[in-house]
Amino acid sequence: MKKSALDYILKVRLPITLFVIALTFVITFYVSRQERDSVGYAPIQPINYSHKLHAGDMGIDCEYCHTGVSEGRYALVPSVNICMNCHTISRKDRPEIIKLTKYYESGEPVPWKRIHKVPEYAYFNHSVHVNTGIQCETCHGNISKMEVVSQVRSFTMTACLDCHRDPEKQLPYLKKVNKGPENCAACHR
Amino acid sequence: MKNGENKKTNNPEFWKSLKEYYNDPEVLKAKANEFADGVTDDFDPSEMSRVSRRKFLALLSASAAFTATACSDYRDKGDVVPYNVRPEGVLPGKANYYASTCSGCSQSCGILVKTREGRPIKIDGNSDHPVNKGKTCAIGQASILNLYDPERLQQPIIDKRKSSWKKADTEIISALKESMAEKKEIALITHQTDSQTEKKVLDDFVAAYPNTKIYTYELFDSGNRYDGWKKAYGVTPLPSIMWDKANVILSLDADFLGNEGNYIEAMRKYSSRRDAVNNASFNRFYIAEAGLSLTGMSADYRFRLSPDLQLEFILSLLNEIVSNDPAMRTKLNSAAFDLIFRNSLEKFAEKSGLDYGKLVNLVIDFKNNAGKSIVYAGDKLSPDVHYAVNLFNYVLGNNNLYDYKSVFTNRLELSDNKDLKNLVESMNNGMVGAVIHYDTNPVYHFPPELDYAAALKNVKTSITLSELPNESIAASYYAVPINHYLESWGDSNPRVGIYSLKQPVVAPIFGTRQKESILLTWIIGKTEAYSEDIYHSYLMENFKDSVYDKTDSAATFNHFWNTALHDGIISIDESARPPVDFDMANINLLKPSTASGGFTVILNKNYYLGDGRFSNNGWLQETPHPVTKVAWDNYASIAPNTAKTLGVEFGDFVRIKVDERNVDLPVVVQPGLIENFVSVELGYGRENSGEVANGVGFNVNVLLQFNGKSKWIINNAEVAKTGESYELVSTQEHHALDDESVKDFHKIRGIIKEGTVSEYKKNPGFIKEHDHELFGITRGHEYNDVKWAMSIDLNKCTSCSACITACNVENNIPVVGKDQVGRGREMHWIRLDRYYSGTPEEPKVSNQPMLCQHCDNAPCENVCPVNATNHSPDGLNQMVYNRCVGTRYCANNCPYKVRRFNFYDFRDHFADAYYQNDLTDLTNNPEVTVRSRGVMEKCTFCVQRIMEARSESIKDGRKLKGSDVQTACQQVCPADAIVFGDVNEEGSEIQKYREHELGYHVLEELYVKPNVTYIAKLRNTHSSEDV
Amino acid sequence: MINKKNNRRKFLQVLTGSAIGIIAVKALPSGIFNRPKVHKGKFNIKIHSSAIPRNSKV
Repeated sequence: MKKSALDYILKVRLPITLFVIALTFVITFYVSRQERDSVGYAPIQPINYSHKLHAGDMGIDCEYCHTGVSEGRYALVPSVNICMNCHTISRKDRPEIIKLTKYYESGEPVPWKRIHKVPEYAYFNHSVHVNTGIQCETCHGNISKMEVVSQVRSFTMTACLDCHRDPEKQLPYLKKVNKGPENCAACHR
Repeated sequence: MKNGENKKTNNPEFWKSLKEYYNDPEVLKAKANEFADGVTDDFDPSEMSRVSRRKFLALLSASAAFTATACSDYRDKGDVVPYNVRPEGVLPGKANYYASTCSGCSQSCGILVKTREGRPIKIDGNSDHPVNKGKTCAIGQASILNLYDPERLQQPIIDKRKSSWKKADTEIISALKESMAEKKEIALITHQTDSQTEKKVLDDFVAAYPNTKIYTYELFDSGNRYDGWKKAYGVTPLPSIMWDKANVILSLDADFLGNEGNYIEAMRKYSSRRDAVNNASFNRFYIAEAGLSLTGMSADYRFRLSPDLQLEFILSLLNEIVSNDPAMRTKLNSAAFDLIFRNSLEKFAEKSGLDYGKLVNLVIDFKNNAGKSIVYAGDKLSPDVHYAVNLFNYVLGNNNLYDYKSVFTNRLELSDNKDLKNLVESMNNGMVGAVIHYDTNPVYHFPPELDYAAALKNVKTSITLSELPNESIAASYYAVPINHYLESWGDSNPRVGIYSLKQPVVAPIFGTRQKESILLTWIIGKTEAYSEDIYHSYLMENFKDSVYDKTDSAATFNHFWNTALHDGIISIDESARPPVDFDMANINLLKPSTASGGFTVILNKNYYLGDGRFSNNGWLQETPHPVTKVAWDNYASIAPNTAKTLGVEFGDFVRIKVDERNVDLPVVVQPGLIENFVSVELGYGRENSGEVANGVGFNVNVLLQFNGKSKWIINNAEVAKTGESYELVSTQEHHALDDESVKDFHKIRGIIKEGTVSEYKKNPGFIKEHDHELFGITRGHEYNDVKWAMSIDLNKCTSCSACITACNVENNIPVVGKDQVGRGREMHWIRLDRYYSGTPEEPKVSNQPMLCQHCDNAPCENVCPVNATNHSPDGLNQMVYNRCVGTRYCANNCPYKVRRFNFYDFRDHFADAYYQNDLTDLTNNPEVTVRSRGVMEKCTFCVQRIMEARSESIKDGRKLKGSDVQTACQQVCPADAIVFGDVNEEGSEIQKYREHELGYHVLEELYVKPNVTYIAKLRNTHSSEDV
Repeated sequence: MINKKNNRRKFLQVLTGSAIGIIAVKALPSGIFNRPKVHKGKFNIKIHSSAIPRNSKV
C-alpha cells in the first residue's frame, strides 16, 4: 500500500517526538536532582577534614564537635579551638594541619562550605529532633564512612513531612515516638 | 512617446556628467544598477562562511549563557563560618542575658538585655530589681534602637571636620589648661545623675581644674517637689509612696502613672488595688487636673481644675476636714489654722465650677480613710502646692504611706535660674574659657531669655559630648561622640540602699568612648592616658570603697563584683534617717495665686520622647500618644468649647503668644480639658539632629520662661487662630463624641463593657446578664494538648503603650512614617483603642488593647485563596508569610481589623530606606521573619517564644506548661494586665481569668470564638451614684 | 534539499552545544570558580571580656 503522509506522521514522527520528550524529561529529572533536593552535593572544603578518620576510625562522638545540636536550633560547626584541642600536638607536621594552625594563629575562622541547608523561611530546630532520640545518621547518612561529606537525604518539605507523618517507619530504633507537628507554624513562623 | 526615444532626442533637465547629457546608453544602464558592473563578481554566497551574522550572535549568546551558568555554582549554599575561638558561654543560636541599668530616663530601672551572637536585640526588666521588678516602659524598650542608629556620631568632629581622638584630646586638654592659666571659668553643664561614681568623676574634674563650675539642669525636673518637701521636712530625703496601701488617692495634676517619677513602680502598686479577679479591695482614685493625662484616663472621678486654683483646692479640702474634726485640728498651729480657715469649700466649688456634692464625697472618703489615703501633687505645680499637700498628708496621718524603706537619693543639685543667668553673662563678657556640654543639649533646652546660642559663640572652646548630632553639637567647636548606655560601664543609686550596675553588653560599635572615661582622660591630662578600661577600673575601685566595704561580705572583692554584675543589683541595708516633724513655720509662704485673664498654657513632657533625646527613634515617634492617638507630631490640645470660640478644628493652626514670644501649633480638640487652656508637649521641632527627628513637630521650647512660680505653667497667654492648617495624623480619629450615629456604639456593640464596683457587688453576673446562647453549624477544632489563650484586665491597663513597643522590638515591626500612618497603615500588631463616653466636657475614657484574637472560628482562615493562614492544633491562628500573595481578603474579614498589610517593603520605604541599612538590621530578632512587600502580618502570640519553650521542654524531658511562655506584651506590661497561658491546664491562671464572671469577649455575637478575654472595667464610684 | 541539510545542521549544532554546556557545568569541579567568601562583619560587634552574662557561673 502506498504510504500516506498521515501514516508517516503517526508511525515515525509521533513516536520519535514522544520518545525524545520522555527521554529529555527523565534525563533532566535525574541530572537535576542535586539542584532540586541537593542530594549528592559534595563540595570541596578548605581543609580536607575526613569524618571517616575522626568519627569512624577514632570514634569521636558527633556532639564533641557539633556542640549546639542538643541545645539550640543550630548544630554548629566546631570553631578552630576545638580542633586545636588535639591538633596543637597531634600530627602537627602534616600539611592540612599546618593549614589549620595558620587559621588558628591568624585569628581567622575556617570558611567551611555548607552542605546541608534548610531554607531560611523554615526555622529548623536541631535540639528538638536530637532530644527526641533521633540519631544523626538518620538524616545525614553514614557520615563516619565519608571522606568527603555529601548530602544523602533529600531536604525537601515532602521528605520532612514523610517522617513527621509516619515516624515509626523511618525511625525503627525508637521505642515510642510521637508524630511530628504538621502545622505550618511549627517550621514556617 | 516611448521613454527611450525621448531620451535620445531630449536632454535631461539635470545631469551629472557630459556623457549623461548626451544620453550615453552605457551610462544610462549603469544608473539602473546600484553597483557598477563586475564589482560583485567575487561575491558567491555559497562560498561564504556557514555562520551568518544571525547565527554568530546566537552562538555567542548561547555560549555566554553556558559559561555564566558554568561559572556560578548554583548548588553552592554559601559558607558556614564558625568562630575562631568561641567565647565562653556563647552558643550561636541561644540567647545570652546580661543585667544592666536602663538610661532611658532618670529612674534607672534594672534591665536584662537579651543578646544573640553578641549583639543586643531586646531589653527586658530585671525581676531582681526591687523597684521595677522585671518591667520596663515604652522608652526603655525602644531605646535599643538608638544603639543601632546609623546617624550616631562615630568619631570626634573638630570645627565640622572629622578628626581623631588624639587631636581632639590634645587640643581640648590644652584649651582647659589655657582657661586655668587665664583664670577663666570652665563651665560644665550636665543633667542630674544618680550615679555616685559619676559624681566622683565630676568632683575629680573640679579638683583637677579648679576654675570649673558645674551647672545642672533638666528640662523637666522635680525641683518644685523637693523644694516643697524641704520647706516641710527640712533636708530629709524624699520617700516613695506606698500606692498599694492607699484606699483613696487624690492626684493634683500628677501624671504618676504615665510620666512622672518611676511610673512602672507606681503602676504595679496602683493596679494591685484594681484587681477584680483576685478580689482586691478597690482604691478610689480622684484627680484634679487641667488637661487629660494618661493618669486622668484611669481616674474614677475627674475634676477639671486650672493649675492656679490647685492651692486653694487643697486648702479648702483641708479646711472642710479639720473644721469638723478636733483631733486633727490639734495638729495645726494657730497660724496655720487661721490661714486654712479662710478657704471655704462651698465657695470654692462655686468659684471653680466643680460639683459640690462630689467634693463633699471626696471629703467623706478622706475622713473615713485618714492614714490610709494620699494626696500627690504633680512635678509641674509650684512649691507652695507641694507644701500644702505635705501639710494635708501630715494632718490626716497619711505620712504612714511614705515608704521610708525606699527613699530617693539626692542627686546633683539643680542650678538656680540665677546661676544660669550668671553663666550666660560671664559667657558674653568673655569670662568663660571653655564650656563642656556633658551629654546635654542646652542650645535646645534653655529658655529663650538666656539666648544661650549667641552666648556660646563668645566662648573660645565649646565642647559637646553626645551620642547623636543635635543643636548643641551644631553650635560647638568640638563634637565628642560617647557610648550608648548598652556599651557603657556605670552604676546607679536610685534609692537609698539599692545599687544597680551597668555593664557593656557589646563593645563600642564605633570609635566612641564612654563619657566618664573622656573626662578621666582630661583629668589626667594626657591623651595616652585613655584605655578602654579606664572607667571600668575607676568604677571598681569606687565600688569597693563605697559599697563593698559597707557590706560585711565574706567573699573576695572580685567575687563580690562579679556577683554584682551577674545579678545587676546590690541591696544594702542603709536605713534612712527617721522622719522629722513637720515644719509649719513656712505656712506663711503660701500665697494663693490671682486668677489670670487670657489662656493658661501647660508645657508637658512628651510620653515617649522625654525631653527630646529620643526624637530620632522611629518606634517612639510612631507610638501614638496615649490620649489623642496622634503620632509624629506635637500639637496644642484645646477644649471643645474653647475651640468653637476660637473657630478652630482638628489640624488648624493657632498662634500662642506669651509676652514677646510666640509659636504656631496645630490644634487637637480634646474632650475633658478646662476652658481657656492649652496643653502642649515639648521635645519636638528638632534641627541638626537625625533624619527621623528633623522637622518633626514644632519647637515649643520658645515658651519656656524663668519667671513665675513654675517653669512649665504659663499664664496670660494669647491664643488666636492663624487661618492655616496642617495635616496631623492620628490612629484614631473616628467616632467623635458628637457624631450621633456612632455615639456610645462601643457600649451598644459590647466592645467595652463596664460597670461600677458597687454594681458588681450587688450583681456579680451583670456583665453576662444579656448573653445568649450562640451555636454554630460547623464542627470546631479539637484541642487535646495545649491551647493558648490570653486575658487582658481592663481595670489595670493604663494605656502606657509599653506593650506596643515591646511587640515592635520582639517582632521586627517596621516604622512606616507619617504619611503612611495617615493612611491607616501603621504596622503595630497590638494597638490601644480609646473610647469616650459621656459628654465632651466630662468624658469617661475607656482603653482597650486590641490584638489578634486567634479566633477558634476565624473568619480570616476560610477566605485565604492560597491557604496562607490556618489554625494550629494549639489554638493559634498561624500566618505563613511565604504563601501569602496579598489578596487582603483576610483583613477584609477580620472583625477586629488587626491584620496589617505590608503595602510597601516598609524597610526601604520610610524616608528613603532610613531603616534599611546594615547597622539597624542588627536589631532584628533572628527568630522572627522580616516581612517584605505584599504579605499580611499580625500578632502570632509570640509563636517564636512558644516554639522555644517547647524545645526547652523537650530538652528537659517534661511537658510544656503554659507558664513557660511569656509573650512580649505580657512580659513588659508594668500593670500586669496581660495574662497568657494554656487553658487546658488544670488550675492555670488563664483558666481563672477566662471563666471569671467579669470576663467577656469583644464582638462575641459574631461567633468567631475569640481567645482573648477582657475583664470588664469597674469604676469605683460612690454607690449613691449608681443608676 | 538545501533546507533539509541546513535543518539537520541546526539540529546538530543545538544538540552538541547543549551537550557541551551540560557536561561543562556538571564536570567542572566546584572549587575552580569559587573562592571561599568569608563574610566579614562590617561593624565591631564584640563581647566585652569583663561583662558577666546571666549564664556564667559566678
